[in-house]
Amino acid sequence: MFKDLKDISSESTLTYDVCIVGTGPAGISVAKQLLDTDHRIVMLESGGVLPEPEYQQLNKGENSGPSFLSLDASRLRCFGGASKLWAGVCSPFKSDEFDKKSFIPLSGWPISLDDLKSYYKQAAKMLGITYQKFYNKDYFNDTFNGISFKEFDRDDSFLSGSIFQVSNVKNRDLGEKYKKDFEPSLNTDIIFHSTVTKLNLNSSGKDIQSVSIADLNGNKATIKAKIFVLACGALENPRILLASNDHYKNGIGNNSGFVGSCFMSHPGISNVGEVHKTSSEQCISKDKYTNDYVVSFEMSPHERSKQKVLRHSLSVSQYMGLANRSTYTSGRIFSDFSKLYKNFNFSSSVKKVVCKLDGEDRYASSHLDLGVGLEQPPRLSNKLMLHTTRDVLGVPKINMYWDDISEIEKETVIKSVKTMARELGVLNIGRIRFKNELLAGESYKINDPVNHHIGTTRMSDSSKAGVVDKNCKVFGISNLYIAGSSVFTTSSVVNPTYTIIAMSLRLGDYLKSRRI
Amino acid sequence: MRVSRRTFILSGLLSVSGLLYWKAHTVVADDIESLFSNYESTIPIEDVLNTNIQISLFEEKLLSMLASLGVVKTISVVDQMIEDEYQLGRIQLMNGWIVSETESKVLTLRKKYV
Repeated sequence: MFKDLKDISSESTLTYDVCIVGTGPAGISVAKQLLDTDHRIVMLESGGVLPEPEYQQLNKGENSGPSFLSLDASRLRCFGGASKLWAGVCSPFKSDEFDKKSFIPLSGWPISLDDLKSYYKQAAKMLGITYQKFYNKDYFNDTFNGISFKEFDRDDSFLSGSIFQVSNVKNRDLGEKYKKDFEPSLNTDIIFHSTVTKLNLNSSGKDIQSVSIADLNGNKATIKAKIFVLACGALENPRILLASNDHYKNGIGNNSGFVGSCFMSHPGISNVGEVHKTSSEQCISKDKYTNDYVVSFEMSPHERSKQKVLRHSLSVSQYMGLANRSTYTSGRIFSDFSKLYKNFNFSSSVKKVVCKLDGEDRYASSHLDLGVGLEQPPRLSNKLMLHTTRDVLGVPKINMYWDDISEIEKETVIKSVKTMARELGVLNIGRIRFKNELLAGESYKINDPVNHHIGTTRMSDSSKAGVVDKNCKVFGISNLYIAGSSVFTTSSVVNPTYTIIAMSLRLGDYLKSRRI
Repeated sequence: MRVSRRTFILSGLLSVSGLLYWKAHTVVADDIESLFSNYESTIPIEDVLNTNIQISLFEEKLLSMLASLGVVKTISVVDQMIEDEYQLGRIQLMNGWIVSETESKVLTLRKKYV
């Protein structure tokens, strides 16, 4: 049932079995598993059914590090949250990404890909994509800009490919898709305009007793529950934990100091190099392009491990073919709120590129621009903290310290490009030239905006190295769980939402199995 | 002037062998020019630096290969060497280009001959 805080008598206390804070992809996925069970569920949404500019202001914060992160871009306070604006690009993590790696400090998840497989399948259904397609090598028969993936599909290849499927608009806006399931639900209330201002611990400091909520019109209430799930994204989850510091000076779940630490994103390093093709084969045929998936190059897991580099994606593109380059610096258009729904459509922008390329000689050049998308390693220095100033609800704003790109990230760029050059050389299908910008070090500057927020309440098998355990429960607190990319131990290079949904479905399943 | 029979024969032999040597050398020199004129590379010649890399040994090796194998076979052998070097990671940077060690020498010689 949909409710609004203004319609609930002020200062009242409501009691539920499970309280889920946030109605984005993570919150919806957890709640979906609990829908129509015997449990009484409440979902707290800071904004309304649709985004409202005044509630978006609550996302504002400050940057204090050398790299700038748009704290209010790519975050929506509304039912469905960021699923309303994401590009719908999905790809699962690879199995080796869950492993501990000697050259990546703080790597190693307490779960494996096997723990997520069945949830990836469920998540694929939710998003209208096909799980099996991620592992269907037929897709490697395709060609992009004259470079065939099939040729890389050799046992001794340095490169491999990953398939990214694109969830269409109808399926990827989870708010719109699942509104019809949640609105009439008898066991689930969704309270709009209910921003959580604080988590309240009981006197022992081991259980969350309630959360305080407020709207921008001065209405306030308290929600009591047996189980609480924070599902507000990797910037808001740590903010709430840090701001709830009545009992513990450093905030809740922060004994080891990891709340807010190890922030990660996916910097895209453009102007890396040019791929010069030796073959005369030209651009992808429009007819071959099915428009619901993308294949990207990267070093094979074996080669990645051998060369001790992070995961990455090597993308080749012809910017000349783009109708509007800013389409690809996606976050920039998010800042223009009113144009959001009208203008952004990943599939159509890809299609435009393909159409431009196809059959038009002026765009069919023999060389392509090469860019590298990067996994970021977990680093203590990349840290979200509380600012000294507060928002209108009295919650301290975010102070983000995001460091420059680290040495291993730079090495990954250089080594991945050289490895691609080796592969093209072995096959004699192309040569690569580093761009001057990269050789001069200019490409290493992270360009705003970067829209993926990861790792601020990391999962670990030990309370000394993380915030949540393998079941997403906060160490030291009996009834507080966290859903979303903030629990990711490492960031991978793939878009996080698909894994957020899979992991949240897993958490929902776990909560369902618990006697509440 | 009287020329002895021995001197006459010796001079003749020297002249013939010199002629043969000159002819052979010219053919190989023509071959190497032909090789580099026809050598296809995606890397523009203006991007090849006048590097200090030691190419004389490689040049001699190439001449010897041309003399014994001919142009077509030599190109095939060199291509294989380049492919093997990419496989083994024997690569270097040349004015930003990522090239194999042999490829770098070939490109430098190409600049010299073409």
